[in-house]
Amino acid sequence: MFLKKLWWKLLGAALILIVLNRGLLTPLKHGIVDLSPTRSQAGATAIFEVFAYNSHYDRDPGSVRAYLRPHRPASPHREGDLLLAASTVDVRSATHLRLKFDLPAFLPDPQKLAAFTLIVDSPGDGPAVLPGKLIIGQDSIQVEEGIRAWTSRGSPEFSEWRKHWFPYRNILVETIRNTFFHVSLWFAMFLLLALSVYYSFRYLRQPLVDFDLRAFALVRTAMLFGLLGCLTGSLWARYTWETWWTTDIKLNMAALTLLIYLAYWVLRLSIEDPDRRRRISAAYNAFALATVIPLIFVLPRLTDSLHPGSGGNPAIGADDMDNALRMIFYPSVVGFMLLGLWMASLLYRVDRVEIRLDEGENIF
Amino acid sequence: MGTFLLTGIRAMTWLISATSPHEPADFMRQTGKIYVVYGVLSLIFIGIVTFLILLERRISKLEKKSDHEQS
Repeated sequence: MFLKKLWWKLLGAALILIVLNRGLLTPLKHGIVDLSPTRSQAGATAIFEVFAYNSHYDRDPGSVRAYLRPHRPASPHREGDLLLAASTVDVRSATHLRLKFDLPAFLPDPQKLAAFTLIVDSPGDGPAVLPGKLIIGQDSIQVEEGIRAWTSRGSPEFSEWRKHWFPYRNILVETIRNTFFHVSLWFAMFLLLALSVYYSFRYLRQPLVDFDLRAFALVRTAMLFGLLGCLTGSLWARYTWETWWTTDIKLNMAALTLLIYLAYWVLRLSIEDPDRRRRISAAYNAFALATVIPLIFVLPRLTDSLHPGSGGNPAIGADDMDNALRMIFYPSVVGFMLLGLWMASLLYRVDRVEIRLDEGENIF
Repeated sequence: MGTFLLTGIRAMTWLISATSPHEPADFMRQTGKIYVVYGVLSLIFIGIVTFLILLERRISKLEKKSDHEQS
């Protein structure tokens, strides 16, 4: 029997161990935390203090390079060409740079104010980008002159990306690793709920107590995962969105989901007659999932949400996840799903033995 | 005593203000907020242990019942 086989439980445990190992020990790429000042004037000699995270600039101070690039290029095909190298790069410490730029008199932009992106490249750490933080102003506008002054002489060579390292994101920083735990819990919860609806349908077609027990065990495990998903998300939000709970649509819909399944549990407890209880709760379970899918998958995509993927597909779309994260995220989803199935199978087996002892006969 | 406490508080605020603006004073925000990941993992572990405790209580009940039926 599949439930009592050991291999898939060990597989789940091994996957979670690999995820813990790789997910916690893989370093982040270096990133630019802050730049000051963030305003400057065309034609000036500008000095910027740059603070970075996870960088090792002092290892090879001579080969650290810094560049400015228009955040929105004047014309799209010129994007690669427009680049201004720092005239001096002063490495103050492993994470602190002092940059000097001789800004040309005109900007390659038809506006008085234009946003610029800072790129810092260091051979040991790879390139890092701070997009659009720096605003440079100009008094008179001469776009062609600006483009000529900003066109780089010879294309600069960037050092290689650390492909398997996790991306640096301001605000998130190391908490990007929570993707493997918080998000996987929700994915696993949905698999468990879908499976429980499958057993509920089988019960409705063929009223065997066994199917009902399986569905109920799966729902309870899914509720534990959902509760943990809420708690871990709340902790994560406290240190990134600066609040335990927001009115973000996905949060409230997730809480509603838990309430819907709490109602399922209460419904089961409130019906005395076992046959009626099993039939009604099987039907309720099917409707519950049919309600939850639009709540969690459809509504947050239609409105604005703090979660990734409002108006798109999170976790699968290219914007929200990079390949280094994906390599750990997918094994983690499978690992948590197998762990959930294992926990549900234990609950189901205890329920089965309990009923057998209560009724004093084999009803299966 | 009061002046002692005041000096202490002054020393504390001086220490906090003396740290770099890019190294937050809050414990959970140190080292790139890695302790938030630690907190999330602890919560999941607590959840699994709670599950085990509840399961064990039910198994104990079953054991008692089956012992009773055997005798």
